[in-house]
Amino acid sequence: MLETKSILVIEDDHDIRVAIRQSLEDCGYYVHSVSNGWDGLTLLERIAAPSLIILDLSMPIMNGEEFLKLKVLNQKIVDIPVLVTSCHENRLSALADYPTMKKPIDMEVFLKKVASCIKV
Amino acid sequence: MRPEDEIDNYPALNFLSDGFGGSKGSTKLIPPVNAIFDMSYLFAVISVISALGLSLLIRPLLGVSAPFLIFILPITLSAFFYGLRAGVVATVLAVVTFFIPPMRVLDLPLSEDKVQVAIFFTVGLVISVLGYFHRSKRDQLQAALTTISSSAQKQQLADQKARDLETDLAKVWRLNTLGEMATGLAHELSQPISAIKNYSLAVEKFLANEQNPFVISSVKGISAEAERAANFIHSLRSFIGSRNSERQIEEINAVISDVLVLLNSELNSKHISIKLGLAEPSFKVPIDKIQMIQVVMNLFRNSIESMSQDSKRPKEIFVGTLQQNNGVLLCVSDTGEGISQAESNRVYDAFFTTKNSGMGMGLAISKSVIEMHEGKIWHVPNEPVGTTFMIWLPSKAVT
Repeated sequence: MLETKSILVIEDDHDIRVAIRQSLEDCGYYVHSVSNGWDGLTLLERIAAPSLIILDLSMPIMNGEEFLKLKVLNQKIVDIPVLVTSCHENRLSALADYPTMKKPIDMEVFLKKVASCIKV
Repeated sequence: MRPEDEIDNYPALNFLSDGFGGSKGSTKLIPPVNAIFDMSYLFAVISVISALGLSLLIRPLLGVSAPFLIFILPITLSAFFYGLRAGVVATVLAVVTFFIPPMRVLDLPLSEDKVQVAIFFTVGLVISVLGYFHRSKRDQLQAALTTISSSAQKQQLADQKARDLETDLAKVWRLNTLGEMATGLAHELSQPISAIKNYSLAVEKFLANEQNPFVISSVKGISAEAERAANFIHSLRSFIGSRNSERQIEEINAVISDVLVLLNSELNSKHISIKLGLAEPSFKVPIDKIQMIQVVMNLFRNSIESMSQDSKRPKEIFVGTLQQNNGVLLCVSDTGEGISQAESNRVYDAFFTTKNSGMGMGLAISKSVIEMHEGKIWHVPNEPVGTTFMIWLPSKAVT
């Protein structure tokens, strides 16, 4: 049996979070989800490193950009790939180092992108 | 500002020290050499061509002397506007024009030309030289005017700065006075407080046989509160006095809970809810607890004040701790007015404040305290509203 890959979803919009979670679970991934960058960092301290982080940018308490800055500094989680999603095109284009996904999310494209991110 | 820079800002001084046409300073008085070449040649050529056209036009009316009169014009104008070089160029061009068709064909015999050419050269040179001096004087005047207006501006800026400094100085003086008063107050209060503590301990002993548990707990409460007041006074005195910071391994959560206790009634009365994200068990960091309480307290106070205006938004402060890179990350996040892009870089500056009553010292002091702990403090916008302040402290003291 194949090992189940886990994915951490960091997204403040409840509906989007649930939708992403459901689609990923349907594809056989194990999904953790939190609603802001701070909770994401907190959870990452406690769980085994996931195969991928799906990150929103505009979030309360700690936004996506700040999360990425702190993630890069943290040896334990620096290598986890991140797929950044946002409806702000200018903010996405400022993050050249990461694969991005413009909102609204087309689930089919999104799942393909997730799969490719995990493979890499 | 270096003295050389100072002089560079006064072109007229350069002019005086270097002399006109000097290598360095004069470049500011007259346009760059390239520009002069281009413009003066262009002007001389165009004006001579125009004169040629004009002379051909009015020649039938004025007779043979028309070219001579008309060609004085480009020479005069060139010399006047672009100095010696342009004047000479215009003169030469005017002379050459005399010898080529159609002027030559239409004009007088060659012997009379020579006289006219001589007059041309003389007049052209005289006007050019006059124009050159006129021009240099005009440049000097212009430079002097520029200097005057720029120094007037500088004076204005300096005045403004002096006024600002005066205001700051007044603030420092008030702070200083306040500090002295607090020192006196702390000294005066410490005596009665320790007396209260001793008396209440004595009462506790006298009431050894007391059956009512409420009486015992009340008396214990008195001594505990007196102890707390004494500690506070002690920390106040040490905060005011320039003591060395005393770092001990402390629980960061204890710092936060102390602050929450102190601000409890204020938070309640302003209907601000607190969300906690503290890691348990608490991280331990080498800190000066009193200073750190001041820092966290200041962040909370800023948050409370930023949320005092609008009542429609949910008023919430999130405070959390997290392990990060051999250190602890502390986060205080509010849903207040936020910090504008323009103010963002200045919030840690001393005396920078957006409040009417503020001293503008809170974040400046906080930053210096955190930096003394080899830590960092920064902020990011909380989305959609508010500000998130982050503090990172190393978990081992850097020696």
